[in-house]
Amino acid sequence: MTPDPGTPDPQAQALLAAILSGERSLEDADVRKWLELHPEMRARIQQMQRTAELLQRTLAEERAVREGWERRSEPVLGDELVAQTIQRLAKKAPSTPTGTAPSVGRRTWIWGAMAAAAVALFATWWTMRPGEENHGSSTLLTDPIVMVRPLASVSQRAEYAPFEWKAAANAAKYEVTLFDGATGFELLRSPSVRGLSWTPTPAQIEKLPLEIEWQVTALGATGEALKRSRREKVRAQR
Amino acid sequence: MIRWEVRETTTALPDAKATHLDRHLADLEMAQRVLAGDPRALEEFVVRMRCVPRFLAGQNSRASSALDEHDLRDLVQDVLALVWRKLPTFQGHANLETWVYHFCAREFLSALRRKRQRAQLRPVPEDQSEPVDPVSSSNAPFLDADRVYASLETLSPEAVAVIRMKHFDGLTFEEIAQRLDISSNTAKTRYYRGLERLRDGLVELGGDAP
Repeated sequence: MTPDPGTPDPQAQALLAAILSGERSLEDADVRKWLELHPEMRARIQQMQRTAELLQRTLAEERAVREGWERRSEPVLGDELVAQTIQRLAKKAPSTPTGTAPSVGRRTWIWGAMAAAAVALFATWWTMRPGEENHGSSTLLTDPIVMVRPLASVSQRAEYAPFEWKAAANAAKYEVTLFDGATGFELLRSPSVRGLSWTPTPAQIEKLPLEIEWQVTALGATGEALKRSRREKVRAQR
Repeated sequence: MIRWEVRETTTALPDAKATHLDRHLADLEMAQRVLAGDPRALEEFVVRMRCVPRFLAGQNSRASSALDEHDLRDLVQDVLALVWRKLPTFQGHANLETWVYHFCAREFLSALRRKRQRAQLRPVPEDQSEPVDPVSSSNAPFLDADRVYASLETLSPEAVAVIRMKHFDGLTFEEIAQRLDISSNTAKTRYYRGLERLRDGLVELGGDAP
């Protein structure tokens, strides 16, 4: 049965897809035979080929830009703008970026403004206080805390090395996050701990890949993040 | 015996080795946390959005540096504002960088157009017979890309996933099928139907068939 020229049947669609994407050639014997049986498909292929080519060109261009630039670690023009701009946008709409937060009365607004001012003052003091490196106007927590020490040798899985770190100023507790070393995905987050070390349970250890990254976050008394270490990569050796 | 060794310190972005779906879901979750006001998610979001100046710089580099530094800095802020406004519409069909790239591509083209309009409004110098036209034929790919991205937005997420895996990741239909846990024939029919709709969309946008 000859397929309807308006809508090729699924089998024809599959073959057309293979041809248009370049997986199959018009010169392939079975394709030629199929086109002899369905000559109307030649026009369809010609019609669609330009779309496929345009798509290929566009996405290849995207790939070239992204491969060349996405993972550049050196600062790029505008990098410093990103944090500033997003913080400004977040401040404008603190609850949701769409600005759909319920309206508040004048009194609430004033209290909110005063609270925001207090937070800003605290943040300024925090970043400018003596002995602390000032990393610009960002209040985001990207500074390393201090030296962190994940390395320890163990003889049993159950005696898995604890993650250890030094105290950070004003921290009330800490939280450790483990990431998959290959993908960067978060795997595990510790409960808040008041001490300077944390050891995952044997059950948690069993699920960890050989290579992980870990990061410790210093938390304030109310659980707010004060500082965060860099991610550090560690690898298990059996 | 297990011994943990410090190998390197890194602030690496998520790696491409993760499966598409895992990354997309993780990105969707992060976006939702940003929308809910989670400060840690916002911090991660800021790091991820460093792709914006990189994409724009990359596009500008491929467009013979048509935009100057001042234009680019403005554009970074425009794109971030747009991404922020649109964040509630992020569905996790693609990863965050892919989603953001479309905004970069479209806003970059708009910036080129604005630059052209400004150049046309300027008096032509005596020693220059033609006004400067930043959106010249050498930038035609950006015009096509604009139409392609606009049309891709009208397709189903399933079709876009297959199309992107085919043309961006360069996978075979067999590989796409494995990644999406569908049959190879389903991958092919999704591709074909997507391509047809894309063509219709391009005709609507551009007035002529590509």
